[in-house]
Amino acid sequence: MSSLNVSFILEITRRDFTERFAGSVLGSLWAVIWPLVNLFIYIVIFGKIMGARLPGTSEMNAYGIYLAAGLIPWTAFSGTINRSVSVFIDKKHIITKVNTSLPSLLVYICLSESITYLISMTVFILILFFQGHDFHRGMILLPFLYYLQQLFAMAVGLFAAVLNVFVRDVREITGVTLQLWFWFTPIVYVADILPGVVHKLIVYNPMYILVQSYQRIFVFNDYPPFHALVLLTVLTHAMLLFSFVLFRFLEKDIRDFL
Amino acid sequence: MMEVMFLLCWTAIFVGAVFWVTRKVVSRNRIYLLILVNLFFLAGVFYLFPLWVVGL
Repeated sequence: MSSLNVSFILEITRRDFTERFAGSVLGSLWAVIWPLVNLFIYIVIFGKIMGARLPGTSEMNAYGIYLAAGLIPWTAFSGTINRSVSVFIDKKHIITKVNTSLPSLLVYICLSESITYLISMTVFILILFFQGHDFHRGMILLPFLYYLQQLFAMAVGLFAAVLNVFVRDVREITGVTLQLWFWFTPIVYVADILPGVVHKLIVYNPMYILVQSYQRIFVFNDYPPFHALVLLTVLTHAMLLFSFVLFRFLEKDIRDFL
Repeated sequence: MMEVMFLLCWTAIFVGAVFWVTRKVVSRNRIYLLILVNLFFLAGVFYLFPLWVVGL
């Protein structure tokens, strides 16, 4: 197996980002316009115009902040998995010509999604700053939360990408699963409105722990649930190890299939 | 300030460990060792941060 080539990863990440807006007049500026429009919808439309309120808080735009705090990480997470699933097939032309490490293709997707996340999060924090929002000290944990979240996305993505080479339905199954997963995670609603049985089950949803961490920091001015995060860290690395062992076991077959 | 100091020091140790692994360990075992280093790093952040810094 060829080793992980840092310059190769950075180059395809740069190309992926610039190609996304290639040919448009505003170019990479769209990467800032999109998060701005999304945050405008979450905070102004939902919070102020539609008057959606978050139970237990008196702040006017608390629901908008709650929504943005959950949707920004979810977008990066689901985007990473969605694009990872078919990465070996999409980049077949590179894999068959250049002796490259296959997992490095997942790293480039992760980095590419991180750029979008970074822009969205910066815009979000700036909006909150200019609104005079009271920031919690737990904010310094955001890079670590994001790192854990993307590691988890990579673990799931690698597993799905390996299977997708042999069974093409995996791509569709992943899309459907992510859609269900989104609605099973309290991003647009609060967990308290769920019926008893579902409320008990939701604690086993790894994304609930991550989204809840962001919501606690931004909306409820509290630290994230540390014990749950330690457990999620162990689960993520176990999943990562499992996906990598599976990949190593099937690597030769994957290259032959492509 | 203490929170930042803890996270910076912990991250520096992690970066040092990753650097050592990528330089000294043979390619075959590198990724497994990197996963282990990662696990210690993140579990350390979420376990030690509330214990030492926040006092939870």
